Amino acid sequence: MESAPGVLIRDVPGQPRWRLVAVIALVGTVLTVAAREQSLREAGFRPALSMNRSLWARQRWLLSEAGPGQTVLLGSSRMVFGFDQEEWVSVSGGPRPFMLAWPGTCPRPQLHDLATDTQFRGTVLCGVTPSLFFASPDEPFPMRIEKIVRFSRQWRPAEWCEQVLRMRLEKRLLVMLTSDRSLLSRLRMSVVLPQRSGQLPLMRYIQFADLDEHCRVRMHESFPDDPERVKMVTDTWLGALERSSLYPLGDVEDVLGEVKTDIDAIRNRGGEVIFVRFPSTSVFRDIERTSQPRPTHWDRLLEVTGCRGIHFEDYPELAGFDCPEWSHLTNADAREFTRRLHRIFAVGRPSER
Amino acid sequence: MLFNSLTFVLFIAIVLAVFSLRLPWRFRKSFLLGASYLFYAAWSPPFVFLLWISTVVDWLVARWMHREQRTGRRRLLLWISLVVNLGMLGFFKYGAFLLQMFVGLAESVGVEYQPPELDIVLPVGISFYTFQTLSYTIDVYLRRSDPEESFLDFALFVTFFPQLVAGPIVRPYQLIPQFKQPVRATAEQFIWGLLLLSVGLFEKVILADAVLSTTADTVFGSPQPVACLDAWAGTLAFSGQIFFDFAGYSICAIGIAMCMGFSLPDNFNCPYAAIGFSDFWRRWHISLSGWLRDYLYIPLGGNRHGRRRTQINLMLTMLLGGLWHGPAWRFVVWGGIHGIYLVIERFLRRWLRGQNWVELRAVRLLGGLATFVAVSLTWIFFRAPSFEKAASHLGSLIGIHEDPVLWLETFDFLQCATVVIAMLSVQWWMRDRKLEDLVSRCPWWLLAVVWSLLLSLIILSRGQSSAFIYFQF
Repeated sequence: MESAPGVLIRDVPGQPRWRLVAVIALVGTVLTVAAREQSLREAGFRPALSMNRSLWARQRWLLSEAGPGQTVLLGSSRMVFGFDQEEWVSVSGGPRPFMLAWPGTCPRPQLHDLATDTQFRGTVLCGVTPSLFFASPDEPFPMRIEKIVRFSRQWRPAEWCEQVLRMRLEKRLLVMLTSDRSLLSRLRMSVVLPQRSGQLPLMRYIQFADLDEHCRVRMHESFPDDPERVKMVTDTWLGALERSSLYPLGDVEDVLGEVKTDIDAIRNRGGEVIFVRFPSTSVFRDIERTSQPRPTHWDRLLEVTGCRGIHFEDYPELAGFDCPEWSHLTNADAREFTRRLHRIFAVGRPSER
Repeated sequence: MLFNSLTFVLFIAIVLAVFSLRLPWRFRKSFLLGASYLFYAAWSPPFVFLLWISTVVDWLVARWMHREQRTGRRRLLLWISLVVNLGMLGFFKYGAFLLQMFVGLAESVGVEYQPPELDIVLPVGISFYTFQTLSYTIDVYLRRSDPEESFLDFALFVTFFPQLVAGPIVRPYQLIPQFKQPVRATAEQFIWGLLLLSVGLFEKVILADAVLSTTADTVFGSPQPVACLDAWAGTLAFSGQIFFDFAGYSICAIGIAMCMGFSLPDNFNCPYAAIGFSDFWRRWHISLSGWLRDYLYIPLGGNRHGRRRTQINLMLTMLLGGLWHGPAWRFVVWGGIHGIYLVIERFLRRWLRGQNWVELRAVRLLGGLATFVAVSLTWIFFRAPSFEKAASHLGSLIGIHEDPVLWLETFDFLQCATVVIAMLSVQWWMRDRKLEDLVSRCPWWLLAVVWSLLLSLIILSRGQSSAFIYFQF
């Protein structure tokens, strides 16, 4: 860098063939990316949206633009896998509910967000995955939704534009895919290395479902028939539970008090909150029975809040569904479950609280 | 608007296309100013008003100050600039922190006070452009330079988008003269600018975000004490992450400016190859170090008033430099430790003066490694969410915890070790070399292949666009 008095001038390296360098670099990049795109297409991948906070913020913005009396879906991954908005629209004849549920997160911050939104007077269907709903406020993974909610309140023009561009590209180009299909993830998964004894279980997130622009997640149709991939996912759930156990448990009564305050705020404006317990099976269900027993968690939630609750085990028509990886419904089952859920929702039961 | 976003790709393509048109220079500068405001407004349109206030106040104050001969009036005008600029910075950045301190102070004397919850959003880049405009008014006050005649040139100096939100903090004499004559990038400048942008993005997207951030986040986010090896990996990963994140941004800024034909100063020069801490601060965030030296350390007296006063000045400068990074005592402690390092180093330098063995290559290498380790350990206060976590992390480094958690897998260690060793080797090798010279000597075909590889990796290994760490400052 040369510096004449008062003027800053940066040197440009003396390359005799700068233009050729640029052309070859550009062509090389285009060819590499095109080759990767082709290989992903040949491997049968389909374009899908990436799960990012801006997509949630967009959904939240659409809700605030839609007016006060909308139906909103809160919860965790079981809601985004298990509730089919199109099916709900077709059986209810009403508008599409807004999906604000977000995988792997606790819905309490979302509920609080709606409670503090004085414009909101709609109906909330809140999915309850016990380990996430009752998560400690100190547990960062489920509570990352707090940051996403805060982000949505300051959703800025740059992010709006970024999300629009991203959705347009991601729907067309497979190289835009993230998750387990990015090069570094592939490298991590393909290299088998010895691990230390006492090491926490390895986490290998694999993509077994796709997300659409309405935040609905659909399980890949071939996934349940691939035992190796199913095992990778169930191993991930077990690993996540082990990691979660490192955090102190949240106080259930504190959680309930906080939830009741938020629900009262929604009710006072004419809104309604209904809790839904989506199916879980096998090892996951057994762990939930031990870790979050129904009497001290689900039953107590309904008792304290006075809300209506629909638990899959209370209704024969909701009880028979299988979850291939213990926790989520297949796409076909989600449609059927939603249809049956709507029937229960519309009719109601005297025994329900 | 993040440099590593699709929106920015669209934005920069339009800006470069329009700026390269054969239009009057005044129009092109006005367009650049408008684009810079758009770039800033894309984060939060209302905060553009803060930029305007800073620009208008400093421009007017400097002109009045220049005309005014009475010392008292000139000092008053300087105070107006300081109060407006530091007032905005203080309110938005330190408002909640000061309130929290006030509450703590009140509680210590037995007064219970429950303040309203402040939810102040920090305007991005406010610390950077505040320092940049302050250097202008202080220079005019000290009669180091004359005020700028053209409001357009001054506004562009404050708002120039490549370096607006995270530096380099540019001095008026470095940038404003470049706006005086029509500028158009040559083909070589344009291509070199794009190559620098690619290198910066590679450092940010791949090395900082994709490779190192997970290790650092996992270790520093652990609810329970981690094992010794994990703690070291997390510490070194964060050292690498913060370097690649911030240096990557600076290189992007230099490259984008170069694509338009402008020159920005270097902000990093192989800082982890520094031998000693004064050397480190000549290589790390150079534009901030230089600002603190010229506008804080030297006005405080620098080294002109004896040893003890020099040490106090050093400590004050580093403590305030730490606080500049964020409204938390952790940053003050981080700055304080660096101050102590500098004070100790002054003693050592005096003690070792005339000793030939300190110039031996092996000794210099050891000195460089010791500096890197000390700097890395100090980053712990910067990265850990609280003092308790920092203390626990330091305990993990010497293995004092029983039954620690083994978070990281072998792949994480390999990944982290590979990048950190490569980073140190490259920085040591490049210590007294210039990137420009290296590229000049590189065969053209190799340069093309490396560039293509960098771009392909950026596209194919992309995750979500995450903000640069220094945006929060």
